[in-house]
Amino acid sequence: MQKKSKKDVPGASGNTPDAMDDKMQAPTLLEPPPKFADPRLRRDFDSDAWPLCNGNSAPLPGASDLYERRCLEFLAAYYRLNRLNRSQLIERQNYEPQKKVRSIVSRINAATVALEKLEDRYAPIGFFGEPVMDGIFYRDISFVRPELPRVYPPLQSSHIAIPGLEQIPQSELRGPVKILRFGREKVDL
Amino acid sequence: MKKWIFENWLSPGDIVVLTAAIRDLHRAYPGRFLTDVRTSCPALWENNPYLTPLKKEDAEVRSMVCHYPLIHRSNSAPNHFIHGFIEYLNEELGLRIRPTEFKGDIHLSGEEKERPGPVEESLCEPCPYWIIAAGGKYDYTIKWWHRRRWQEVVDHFKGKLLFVQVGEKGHYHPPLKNVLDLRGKTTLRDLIRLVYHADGILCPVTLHMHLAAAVPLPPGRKRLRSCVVIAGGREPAHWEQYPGHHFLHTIGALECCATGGCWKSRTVALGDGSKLDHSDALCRHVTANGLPRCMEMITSRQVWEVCERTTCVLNETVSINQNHKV
Repeated sequence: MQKKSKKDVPGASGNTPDAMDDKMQAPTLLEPPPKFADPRLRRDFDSDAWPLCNGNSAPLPGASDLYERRCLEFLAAYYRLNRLNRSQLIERQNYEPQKKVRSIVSRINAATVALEKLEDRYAPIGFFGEPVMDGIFYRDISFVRPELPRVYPPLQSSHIAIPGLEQIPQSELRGPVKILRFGREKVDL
Repeated sequence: MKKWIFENWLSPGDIVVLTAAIRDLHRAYPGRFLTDVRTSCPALWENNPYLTPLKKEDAEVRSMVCHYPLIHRSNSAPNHFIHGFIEYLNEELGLRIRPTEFKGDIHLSGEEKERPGPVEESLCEPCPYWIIAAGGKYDYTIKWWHRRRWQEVVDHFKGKLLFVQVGEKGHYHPPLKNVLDLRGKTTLRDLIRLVYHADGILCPVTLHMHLAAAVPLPPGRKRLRSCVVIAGGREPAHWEQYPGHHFLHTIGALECCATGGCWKSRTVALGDGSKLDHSDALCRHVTANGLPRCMEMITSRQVWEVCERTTCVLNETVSINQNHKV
């Protein structure tokens, strides 16, 4: 439910389109930290452990698109888990000493915690990756991309009943029209 | 006989509330109106006995976009959302409609009622369950609770209560573990059938809480359908809460919602070009966890305790087959 008036909202103020543009909040630029290193640029990169991105090849290293860079940060986290999971599998198959296995398990736990922290960091903007598993391996990550603001045909949004408007003389209907749109059929005048 | 087409293109939750107004219009003035609707969710009107197919081109037919300006006084006036459309119709048409029931008006066909629910169809046997809607649309992100807290509630009931996760594809519904995952798999009619058979619903302020009240109860069920709403401080409880629902709010507990709902839109700006990124529409009290302070104050423990009290699952021994793959 969208509240259409701000008359009784604490801290609210009257708005004009111009004023609104001035007051638009800069988006919270949640993005990979400067120190983020794409694992594909490492010499020991293991392509078998690198998951797909939305069913396709991942964006190229150094992608400039913010959405793609976010995807890469998640893919790197899953890549790390894939490598550790495979190491664990191999060590168990080879009957390596328990101490060594425990060490790997500990690293898997740390990588899982790191992934959860990453998910938490992006939670306020609703960005997350949903893995497609193959056994214990993350093969493909589907990322949610928020819907962009929808554009509706004027037929659906042009009529707004304003009781009494027809009684106002034309001569008084002057000055700039202030229309603030808040999405689907939610309009402040 | 007056012929009216009522329009509304808001979200599904709003349309559920509009169904109550149409029902009460006909109860207040039986035989005086022929009504039809044009809304964003035709599925919510299936089997509705108060609709008659009308054409806009018909000279006798008038149409009106329905609003609920009462919301402007929601923080101070003693009204529920149910009153919103009704008062608007009264004002516009000079009527005296009164709410007759404290819920929307959703109808199921006989076939829909008799058919096994979506959960029974998935599990091949009947099973008590709650619906969980752990997210929402990207427009009002301020309604979101933390993804990990939803999981904590589910985990608390592991083996005692089955949760069925729902949510529209493209909206923010991060996957939960140990649930029956029906995200993106239900049409609106499927969701209504799902609600019909559900013992309870756990959700933020969203469509599902309106459906919890509006969808009729199965035959023989005497107790109201449970619904626990994680609401925070955005909307006043008296405006949203239905009978028997638990509306977990923080109105009065914080400066930003000291005297009523803040009615803000987003926790942080998304940068999608929406006016909802306007500074006046953003939460003023975001915590280090990225949650609105009001939502952070509601802990998973509080939620599961309310759910337990509501369902008495600890005493009633709700049996769930542990072999269900959820």
